[in-house]
Amino acid sequence: MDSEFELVNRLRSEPTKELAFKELISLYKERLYWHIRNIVRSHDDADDVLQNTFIKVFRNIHSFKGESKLFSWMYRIATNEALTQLNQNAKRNLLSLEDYQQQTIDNLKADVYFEGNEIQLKLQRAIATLPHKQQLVFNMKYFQDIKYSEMSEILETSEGALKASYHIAVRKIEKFLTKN
Amino acid sequence: MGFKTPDHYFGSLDAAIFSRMEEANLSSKIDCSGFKVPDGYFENLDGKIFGSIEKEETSKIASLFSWKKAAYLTGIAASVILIFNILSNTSDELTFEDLETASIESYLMNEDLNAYDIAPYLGSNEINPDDFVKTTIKTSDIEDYLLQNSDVESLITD
Repeated sequence: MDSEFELVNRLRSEPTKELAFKELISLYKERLYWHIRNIVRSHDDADDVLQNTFIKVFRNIHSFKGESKLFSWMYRIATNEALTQLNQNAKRNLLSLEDYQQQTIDNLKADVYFEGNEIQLKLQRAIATLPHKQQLVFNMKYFQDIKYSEMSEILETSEGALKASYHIAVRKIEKFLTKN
Repeated sequence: MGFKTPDHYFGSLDAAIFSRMEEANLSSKIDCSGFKVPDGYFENLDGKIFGSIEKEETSKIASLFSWKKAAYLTGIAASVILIFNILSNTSDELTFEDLETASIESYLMNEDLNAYDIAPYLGSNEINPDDFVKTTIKTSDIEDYLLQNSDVESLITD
């Protein structure tokens, strides 16, 4: 926590902020990228959202109050940016969010940055049938193995509720895969 | 023995074990998402992010500069009009009307006027009621819009 406190101070100080920001990008870029990618599915969208996330962090570091960990705060920004991107894309395509998500999965078949097989495509379809928050919980636990304590800070939900949500999600997905 | 367990531990143990088994079953079939990144993507990311920040800052300065430039050029144009009117006037006398038009034009261009400032000076014959579009929106249409647009929630939650 002390090293995080020190990093935040350097991010807020004009002479040190650029170097501190490079350090921040280096520490968190991959984790944030994969979190965003699991939401938006397309690499190009994930790239845009990731850059927007870091720019927002850079611009708003002075409003970070330290009530949660820096990583939780950044993760929250990334999640909101990714969901905003999805909603904007859906509107632009005159589709509901659910229909747009199915479209992004259809596009994966021809996507050069997707090397999954039929079962992985089916998994994406199964995830897309879950309520939005449950999708987040599933992706964060299943693919990124984020601890429930960290997830609780990021999603501002109790650990118990998250555990229940995750296990329900796993069950629904198993059912979907068996049925399809 | 002195050891103790959390409240309701054994009651929820079955559910926890079965959940773990389901997860293990799923991960035995699918252990990764299938997504991949372009070669060198993460290595080049810093440069892209700093480039975007610099581009944002440059365009902010440029838009401020171009506004100032436009205001500056407008002022010059108004002055040129005034000088031209004065010089092209064949009469020796400079009339009040000559000065008035040019100075009024300059004032209107340089002052920060809004609709309320101008409205008192417009006569009713200058305003055409057909220019104002009357639109009535039904309450049911508003409700339908709110129900169908899920991101309205983001307007009312943090």
